[in-house]
Amino acid sequence: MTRGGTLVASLRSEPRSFNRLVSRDAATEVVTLLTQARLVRVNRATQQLEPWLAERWTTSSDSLVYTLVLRNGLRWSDGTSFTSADVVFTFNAVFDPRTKSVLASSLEVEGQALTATAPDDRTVVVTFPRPFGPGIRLLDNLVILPKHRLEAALTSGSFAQSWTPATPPADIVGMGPFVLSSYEPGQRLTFTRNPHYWRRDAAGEPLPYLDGVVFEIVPDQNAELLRLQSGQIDMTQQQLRAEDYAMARDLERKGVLVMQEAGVGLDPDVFFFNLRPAVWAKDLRGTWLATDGFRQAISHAVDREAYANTVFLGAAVPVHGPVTPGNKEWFWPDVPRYQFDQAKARALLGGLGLANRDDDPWLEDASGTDARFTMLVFKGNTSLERGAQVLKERLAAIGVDLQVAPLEQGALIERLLAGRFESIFFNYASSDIDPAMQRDFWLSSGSAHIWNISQASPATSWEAQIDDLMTRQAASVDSSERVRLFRDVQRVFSEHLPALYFAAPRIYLAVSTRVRNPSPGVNRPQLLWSADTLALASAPTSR
Amino acid sequence: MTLARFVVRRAVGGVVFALVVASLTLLLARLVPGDAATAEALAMSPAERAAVRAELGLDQPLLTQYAHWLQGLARFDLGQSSLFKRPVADLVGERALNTALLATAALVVASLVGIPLGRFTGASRGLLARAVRAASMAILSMPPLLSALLLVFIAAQTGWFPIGGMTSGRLDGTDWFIDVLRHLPVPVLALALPLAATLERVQARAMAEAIGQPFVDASRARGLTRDRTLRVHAWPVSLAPVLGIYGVLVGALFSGSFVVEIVTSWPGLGRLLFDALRSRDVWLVAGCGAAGAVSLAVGTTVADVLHAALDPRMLERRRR
Amino acid sequence: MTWRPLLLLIGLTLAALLAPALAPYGPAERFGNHLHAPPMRVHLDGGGLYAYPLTLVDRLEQRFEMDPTRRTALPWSSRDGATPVFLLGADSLGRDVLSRTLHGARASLGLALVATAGTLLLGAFLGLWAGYAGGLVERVVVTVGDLLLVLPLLYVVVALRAALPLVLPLGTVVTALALIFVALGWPRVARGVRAIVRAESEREYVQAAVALGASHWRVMRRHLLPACLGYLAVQTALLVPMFVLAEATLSYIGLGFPDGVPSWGTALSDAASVAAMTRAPWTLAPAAAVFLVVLVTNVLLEPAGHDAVADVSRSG
Repeated sequence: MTRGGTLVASLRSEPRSFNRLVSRDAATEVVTLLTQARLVRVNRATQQLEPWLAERWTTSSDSLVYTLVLRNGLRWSDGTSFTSADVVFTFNAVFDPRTKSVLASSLEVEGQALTATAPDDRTVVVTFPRPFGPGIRLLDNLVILPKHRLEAALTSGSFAQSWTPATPPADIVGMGPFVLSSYEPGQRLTFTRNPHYWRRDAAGEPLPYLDGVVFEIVPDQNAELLRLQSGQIDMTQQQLRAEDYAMARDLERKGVLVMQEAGVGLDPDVFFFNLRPAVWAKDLRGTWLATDGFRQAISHAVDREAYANTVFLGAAVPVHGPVTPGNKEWFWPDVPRYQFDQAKARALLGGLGLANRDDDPWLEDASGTDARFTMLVFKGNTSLERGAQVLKERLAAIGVDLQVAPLEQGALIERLLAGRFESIFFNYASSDIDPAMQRDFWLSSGSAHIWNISQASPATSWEAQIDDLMTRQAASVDSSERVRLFRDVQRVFSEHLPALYFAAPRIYLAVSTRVRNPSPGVNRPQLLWSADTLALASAPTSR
Repeated sequence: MTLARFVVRRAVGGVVFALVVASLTLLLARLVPGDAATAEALAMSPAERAAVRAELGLDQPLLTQYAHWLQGLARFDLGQSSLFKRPVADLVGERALNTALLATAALVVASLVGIPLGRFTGASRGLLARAVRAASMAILSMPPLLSALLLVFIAAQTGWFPIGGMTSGRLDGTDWFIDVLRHLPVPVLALALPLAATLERVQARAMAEAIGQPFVDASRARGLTRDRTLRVHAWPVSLAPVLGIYGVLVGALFSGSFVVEIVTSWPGLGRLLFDALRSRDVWLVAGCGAAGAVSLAVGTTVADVLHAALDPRMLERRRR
Repeated sequence: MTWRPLLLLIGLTLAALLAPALAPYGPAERFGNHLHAPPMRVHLDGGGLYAYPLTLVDRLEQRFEMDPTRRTALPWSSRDGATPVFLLGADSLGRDVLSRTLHGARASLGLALVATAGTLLLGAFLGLWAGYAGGLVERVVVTVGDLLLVLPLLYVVVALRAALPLVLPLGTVVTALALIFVALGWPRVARGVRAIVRAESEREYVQAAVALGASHWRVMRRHLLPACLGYLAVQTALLVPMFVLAEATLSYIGLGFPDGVPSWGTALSDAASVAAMTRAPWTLAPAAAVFLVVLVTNVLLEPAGHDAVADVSRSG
């Protein structure tokens, strides 16, 4: 692999902080991937856990205690030795209440924190309060920070305000393949090779291959594409939209760029109803609108192939639940399906007492109320906008009037949180492929249990059932039992359909022809997660 | 009233105006659904969310927050941005200069192009004048987003100019100033084109009106050449409405930079304001609003001073 | 005014009013296999007007092939769901651009015209008053106008949106948008009017009228307002396209025309992407429609003194 050269990528937004413990925005995340490291990491291409700063680990028989051995001779980017004390320091920083760390809750099991101790310089003992299925996979989140740089801030209580975008880059020290060398707000971030980086390739060559990386901050997707076309950047941070595919294909034919297919996306657009019983108590439509049968009818009414063709120009696969084929480990091909069948959809609606009782095209219930409801969407996301049009059309075909109400994003989420909506069509990114790490979605008490958020106790018996199955699933360390329990979860889910899914897009990435060795994953950042092994072709120019 | 006194009065007025704008913005931010904790709310438990709100002071009554903000203001502290976790004054200061550079350049270009063209099209019915008029109308018929994108697209196709950003980030000793100059044409044009078209239309109309007035015929009768009549008599008369809209143009620059800065990746105030609005960063929005108010006040004062240079009576206060 | 712009105006008005009859397809009618289909050429022979149907070759790359062995009649004479004819191409959802442009005319133009009229009235009134009265009135008008220019519009609209019901009938949306446009647009008009009035008040004939004891109202109406008419005419020509396009911006915040009502602004903002510009430039058709409207407005409001221009040009 050729050494040297500077790779230029685009970044849509600016990092809000250089301290991953206090900020979870996409830009902070990708900057952290370049400059920092974790004990273990999830390989985004294989979705498997692999050793990172820790070279190996052992698990106690009760699966509660993990003993991790750190690599020998590791150094921070400023040359200071890396020891287990840094790991313990990071745990302390995360759980210090003054930090208000965004990672704290992800490092807890059933509300109790993980603990870390350091018997010697190279050993870290991580103890779980109770058994946890994914085990130390959740440490993929935890960026290890340098004690020698940040201890004073933690002691004085100013840790949450350290490493802001105003901090001089030289003060930001890490274990990642690159170090930040300059930040010009609104314009770019420049990174150079970390001289103390530990990793070597198969041939024993020290990594990273690249001398440096530049992130140009380009807030507009169109401008991003034009820069890629003109060779001013080598790759974009996001996947191509389906409508940009044709243009990228043209450029590929001209030899300007190469398209990479990363696989099927993990987070399909989701359509869900408000299932808070209180909302429908006074609304007459609640007797049919908030029922399983109504949602099943919708699922039957949508031809998922046609949906994928219209919304994603065919570059998508039909999906029948939240877990897509992109999730290599947890996708279940035999998940129960609702085939496209309008007659069945109409029969289900008829079973709910809906029939066309007058001369308008819509169905009515016994009281004469039209089968009509609103769906909130936000604008600016083409797949949602187009999807909403298709859904409206498909529902009209079975006599249901879907009224699309676009809202500004903040206003929409505020309504979602307050439960002031009938249905919503949107998209949100999950953090990991392991269902046990998405309990905030599955559990009725979860903050992302979108159809009825943060319940004190489950509103329905099937939610109680999912709670129980998921709690056992997360607590089990037997992988086949976990698979079995999660299938049960999906079975209950698909019977009651609290949320509907139609298609998951294929993820295409466009990179310059001079980029070598890309290993695309489906979640962001699809290419820069392995920045240390990326390379550029031949003699690099000074761009 | 002397010019100095006029400027001082305007300066005081500008500061008061900025304060009013910032205060109203804070009030508006309260009326808008959502707050700084909304964007990531799906990843937070209700307790965590409440903690974030408490930390940002969002749980306090509006008046308490406002009093707190005013106290800070006395020390030139515009508060802390919840988005970037940095002082608002620093963020706004960084960006305001870039926007000022872009806006000034755009205003100069728009004036240099729009006014002479307007003078010409207002006094001529030839083929060329028609073409210029049609071009103006075409520019006004396009959404700013589209025309900005089109310019970036042309830059990308031709390679004449860098297609975005303010500098190229090369650390090879290229003079910073020259680097910025190279990056200016695309965003400046994107911002200036609609303004130039507006100026052209207003100037053309005013010019045609002025020509229709009796004194033009009188001058012609006195034997002045056509060019001289137009320049010395018709044009100055036609300037009143043109100068009158400069205040509006400064305001339009401020809102127009929103789109242009995003499409051309210019690191300015418009982009900052956009991010702040979306993430409900209350203090940052107020800071940007104040900066916008100050630039509007400066812009109108400069326009008035220029106007006064042309017509000294402007400064005299009339009362009836 | 010559007969040509008048014809154009009549044509535009008719097209807007008769859209449902003229448009070959419904505004929401979608052809799933014709996303971004290019405009088709119409041929004529003894059998009448016809076109060659397009078939999809590559969905992802949106490539189509013309089938010269088959003929399709134009949609006005006979309708065939499988082989639609798009004279101006299809948009990203496979809807006929021509039909959507025609259908969009009423709502887009109606709103723009109502809002422009309101803006002119309010702006001219406040500008006249401020320029003539001076003093406190002037300061208040100018300051309030400036405030409206710099207040973050997004928050104003989002706050307003939150106060309105989720699903809004077209009438409510048009009213709300027109009010917003007037509120935000009047300072633009008032500023110029004020400047003209100020300059004009110093002129001898106005001073003379005042000295002769003419009432304020009479001075404003007889002397000052006529001086501003030209400026107001230009503003009309500037405001109409601005308001057509502004509707699209506000629809992003959720205050646009109801779903299913096509609008020029929204169509244009959908077309504002590199992919659409390069691969489906016909989706920019509404820009041409806006241009026609601007053209008509400009010609109709041609300055009264244009003959003078002609004179000066001729003898110059």
